Amino acid sequence: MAVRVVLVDDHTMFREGLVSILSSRGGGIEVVGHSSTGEEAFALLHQNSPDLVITQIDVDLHMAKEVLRRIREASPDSRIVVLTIFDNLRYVQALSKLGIDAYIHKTSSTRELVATIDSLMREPQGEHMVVSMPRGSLERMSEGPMGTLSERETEVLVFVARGLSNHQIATEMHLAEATVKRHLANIYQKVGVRSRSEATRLALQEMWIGITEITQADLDGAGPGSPEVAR
Amino acid sequence: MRVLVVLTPLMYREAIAHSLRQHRSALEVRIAAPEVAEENLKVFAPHLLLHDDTYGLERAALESVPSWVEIGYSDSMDAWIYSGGHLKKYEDISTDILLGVVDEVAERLGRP
Repeated sequence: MAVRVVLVDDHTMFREGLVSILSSRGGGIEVVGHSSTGEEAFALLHQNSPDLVITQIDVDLHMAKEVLRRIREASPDSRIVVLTIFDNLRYVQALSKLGIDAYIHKTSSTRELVATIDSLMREPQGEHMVVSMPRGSLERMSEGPMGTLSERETEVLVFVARGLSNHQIATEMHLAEATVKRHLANIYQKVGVRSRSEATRLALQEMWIGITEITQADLDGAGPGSPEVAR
Repeated sequence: MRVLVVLTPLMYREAIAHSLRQHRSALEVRIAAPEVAEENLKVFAPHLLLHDDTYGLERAALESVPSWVEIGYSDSMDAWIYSGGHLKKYEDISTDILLGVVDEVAERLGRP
């Protein structure tokens, strides 16, 4: 029986190309729907309950969590394959904890995507996650002190790297400014730095956060923005 | 007619090349990484080039191609299309728009 797939990506021409590739696999894969991210996608998932959803997630963790929650809500039994341009270890780990089934960097080949679908369908229990990332990115990731940061502290660090003030970070994260300061003090102590710029530099060096994660904010607005858009 | 696709990342390049081959089987479509785009422009001499704004191609390289499509990743895959001496902008380019460009270039060349 064919695997029923819904494909979600904002780039129409790319999405249509992937639909064309997956559909050309004959009886193995049936693309039952495709759309850009946002409400249309959640509705499509709710209507079709596909075996597999392949979705673009190129947003910060805060938004990624919300997008994945909405996907689960719309289609609880679907396996989830994430297509992304983010290539930092923290992001992979965090999405793994959120229960995705595959993390495919967009520098991967379409053949790897098809092989991932095959692999997931052969392993219905979902005990393994498939990760396809550039070898160079994986090799550059170190086991440095950034790994000791909590998820909350890392979120603060991403905002710091984006150039937000403590007050702006507090607003974005719905925290008191004093709490942001406390998180920052913890970050400095854990990773052994004395300033925001040192912390940012170290996080980038260790690939704990990625350039794309920082620059993406320029495209989406300063902060996480609306949760339904996963661009 | 020859089409060179040097978009990044690889998954985009392959997906869009697949669409072109599927919808216009007479096309000769080649994909290449942007790092080797200029070399491919010389050897393959495409009639249409698909590239993006993340890798800066030399102006001379662009001028060597009769028609090109430049995808801007900064805002939902908008595209600048240069064909027949005219430059047009499309928001969120689709396969249909791309095929329209292909057909227009092919018609001008008088071949499929």
